Amino acid sequence: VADPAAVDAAVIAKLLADTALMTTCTDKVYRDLAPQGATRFVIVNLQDAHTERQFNQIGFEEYVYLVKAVVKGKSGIDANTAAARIDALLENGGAGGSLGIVTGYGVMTTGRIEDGWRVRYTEADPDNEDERWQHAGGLYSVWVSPS
Amino acid sequence: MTNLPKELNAEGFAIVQENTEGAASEIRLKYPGKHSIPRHGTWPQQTTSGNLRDRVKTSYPSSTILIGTVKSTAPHAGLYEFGTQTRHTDSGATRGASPPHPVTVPTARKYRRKMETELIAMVQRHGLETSGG
Repeated sequence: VADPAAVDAAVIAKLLADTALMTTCTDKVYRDLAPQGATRFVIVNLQDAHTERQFNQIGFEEYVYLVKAVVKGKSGIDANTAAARIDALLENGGAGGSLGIVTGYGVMTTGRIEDGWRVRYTEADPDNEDERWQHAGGLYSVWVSPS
Repeated sequence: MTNLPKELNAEGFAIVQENTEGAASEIRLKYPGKHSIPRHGTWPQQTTSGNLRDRVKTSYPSSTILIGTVKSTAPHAGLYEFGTQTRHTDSGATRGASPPHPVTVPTARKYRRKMETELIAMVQRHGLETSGG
């Protein structure tokens, strides 16, 4: 049975398995929110989902994820490095092929959404003028076909 | 849609405008409006300004090319959409990290798909063939 949660899990697993990304984002990968105390991590958040029907049944499903690195500090270098790695993993099928086996689905492709895909901002902490959080990443589509 | 015959421009623009304004209206509805959040436990009274809702703007930058844009121009729109690590109420109390709140991305994509379907139907109604994705 096709369970969309398996797609979420596959995206997170692919990011977690990448040594280069985890070297920069040492606090790992989280869905929506990181635990308190984490200072270098990746956030995966489902932003959109839609279904394309073909011949009266589901042909394809598209899931759009915000995937961003979040790094505490004034420098954006590490966040940008991590964002570049995220892009290498997910754009146009990504490094190392697709997401691998996703239970209940065949993975068609992954890639940036059609436009406005890049996310980059610096967040200031109102309580501490010396504190910054760097956010860098993008919006990526995952196309799957229920098997 | 840069090569759309001039005869179809007005009809196409109406479709673009309807979907652009539709997306903007739906984004405004999804954003929090100006209201107070009831006191919860020891948390102080919170308020939301409604700035996100008030600052959704549409524009049509070309008279010859069918383009409609929706912009969320509030300074904190990106923080709301994509999440923060620090979050503060208007009263200054820390509330910890805020998760992303997907509003503009899914809404814009929904209306874009609808607009594309309607534009394709329009040109086909006028005897033109369409191809590609």
